[in-house]
Amino acid sequence: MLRYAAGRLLAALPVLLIVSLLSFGIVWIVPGDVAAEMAGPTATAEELARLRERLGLTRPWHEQLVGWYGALLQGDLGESILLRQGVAAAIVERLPVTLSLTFTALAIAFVAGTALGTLAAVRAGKAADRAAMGTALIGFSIPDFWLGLVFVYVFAVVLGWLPTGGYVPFATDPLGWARSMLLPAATLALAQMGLFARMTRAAMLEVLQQDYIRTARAKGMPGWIVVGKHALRNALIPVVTVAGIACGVLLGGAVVIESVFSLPGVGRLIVGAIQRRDYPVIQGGLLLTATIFVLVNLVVDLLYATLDPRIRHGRR
Amino acid sequence: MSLISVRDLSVAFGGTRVLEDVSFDIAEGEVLGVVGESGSGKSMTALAIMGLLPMGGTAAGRIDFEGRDVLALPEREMQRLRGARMAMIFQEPMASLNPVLTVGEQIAEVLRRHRGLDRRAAHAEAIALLKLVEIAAAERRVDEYPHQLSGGMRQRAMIAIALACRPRLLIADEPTTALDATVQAGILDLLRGLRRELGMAVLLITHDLGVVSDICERVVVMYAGRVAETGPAAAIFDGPAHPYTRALLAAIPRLEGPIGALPAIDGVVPAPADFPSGCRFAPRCAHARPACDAAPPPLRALPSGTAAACIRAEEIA
Repeated sequence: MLRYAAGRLLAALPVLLIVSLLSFGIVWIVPGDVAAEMAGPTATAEELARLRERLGLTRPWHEQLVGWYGALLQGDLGESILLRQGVAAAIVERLPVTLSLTFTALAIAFVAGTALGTLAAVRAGKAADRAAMGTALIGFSIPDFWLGLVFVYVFAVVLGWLPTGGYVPFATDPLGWARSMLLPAATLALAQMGLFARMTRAAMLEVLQQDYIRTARAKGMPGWIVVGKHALRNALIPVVTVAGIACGVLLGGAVVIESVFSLPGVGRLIVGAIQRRDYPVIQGGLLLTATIFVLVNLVVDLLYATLDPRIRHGRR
Repeated sequence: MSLISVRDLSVAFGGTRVLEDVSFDIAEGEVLGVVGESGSGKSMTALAIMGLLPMGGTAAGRIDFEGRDVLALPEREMQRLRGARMAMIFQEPMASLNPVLTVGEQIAEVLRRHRGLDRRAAHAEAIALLKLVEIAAAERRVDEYPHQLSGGMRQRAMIAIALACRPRLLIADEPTTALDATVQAGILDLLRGLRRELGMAVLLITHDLGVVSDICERVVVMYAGRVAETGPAAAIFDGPAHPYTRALLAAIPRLEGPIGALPAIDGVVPAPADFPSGCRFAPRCAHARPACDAAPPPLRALPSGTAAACIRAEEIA
């Protein structure tokens, strides 16, 4: 298991290297003069020169690259021009919001999706199956920004059960945190829940045909143990693989949801930075999002091995 | 009194009857062999007894086990019998074990469910059971996964699961078919020894008549969903009355005597939808007469000591 984990970790390193190179290269890829774009049309030549100096654009590219990695290794992502704040500090400040949102949504999508998919598979062809798959399809097809607005209207404006938006840190008020997360996370989760439900149903239907399910029944195991223990653990193996990809989609979707629910997260930081051409923030945001994605998939790989002993032992 | 008594068992999927009028008894501690080609309904009979018919299958008739008709028992009651009073092992030991659970967990689970053992006691008993089925280094194997075991060891582990609660009836559905010849002999020796030791009855499904002559006391020969012939193993081997039984016996390769062409039975078992209305073996039978197609022949007791479903049994003997 330890060797497997180390192997997965080593395999993740080249990806991180490429991502960091891409982040560095953004400044070179955009057409025109980055400094001119950042400073805007009213900037004087003197201001432009100062900005170039600050961004290090006056040095040769290889020096800039060495400087970029040198700073990166010290956790320094540069200075945001508009926020008058270090990029790393700006991201760290907003990261809890985005991580809360993404992982709460992932949890909701996974739990509800696998439950729905299992129900559908066990009752395949019956009314419960059609109802569960119908729910999954609806979840799949509704645009999240629209659903978010409907949720806000119904649960916050009309019923007044939950806040319309804003973020409460977990450390100051756990209940308030949960209340602030519920609507945005549910909104974000719905589409992925549909995905998990369909994946689980397909995997479950296949597993329920297997001989070892018949063995479990021949042992006199009650139906809920046959399904919940013998079948589900096997059916979850492909579903967990998808969780890594779903996490990437959720991170992307968080950008929209943060705007709808006015959550001060990394997504809104990056969108703002793109609008105002705050390149250091864009670079840092890209690097961070990609790193989270790589880490999540690393966790997925480890989870995968926990579920399937054949992978742990390097077979198959 | 017999441990299990199957009376006029039939199994249908929709309008298709795959099993018809199957009757036999197994006494306490007796080994009954059920033989026949693929598609003759052997496994379906076993699954009907266990209450594990595939989706859409319905059974009719009576199966009295320890005095209760299992076909009439609610599922909850059946769950208490399965794995405890009657147990089953299958043909493919790899596919029949859950790949993500340790061998020990798969044994211990039965002990916790039916014998109410706690986690520790069940684990210890699982090791004892692995020793009973003669798996070496049982203390280590108990925490391994099925893919870490050889084919023979997996089938031994399956047997350990089946025997965990000392069932009165063990159904073994072609337990050695998927294994190497040397491993087969080991598994059969084990089953023979365990059956003597534990005094349980065994329903052994096989298409290998050599295995039958080895360990079975009585035999049921099945063809296309019906019983063709039944009787004591010795009588079946010495004086087979049904042409199908005779053909099966003739198809066994012999080590002694001249080497010649091995007689095979022409054709295959028809699919259930194509079962003939009369004697189902008639289309493949060398002795068939027009009368054979009239109605399915009933089982008749014969002087040779067996009962056969053939109207010409005396003439061709």
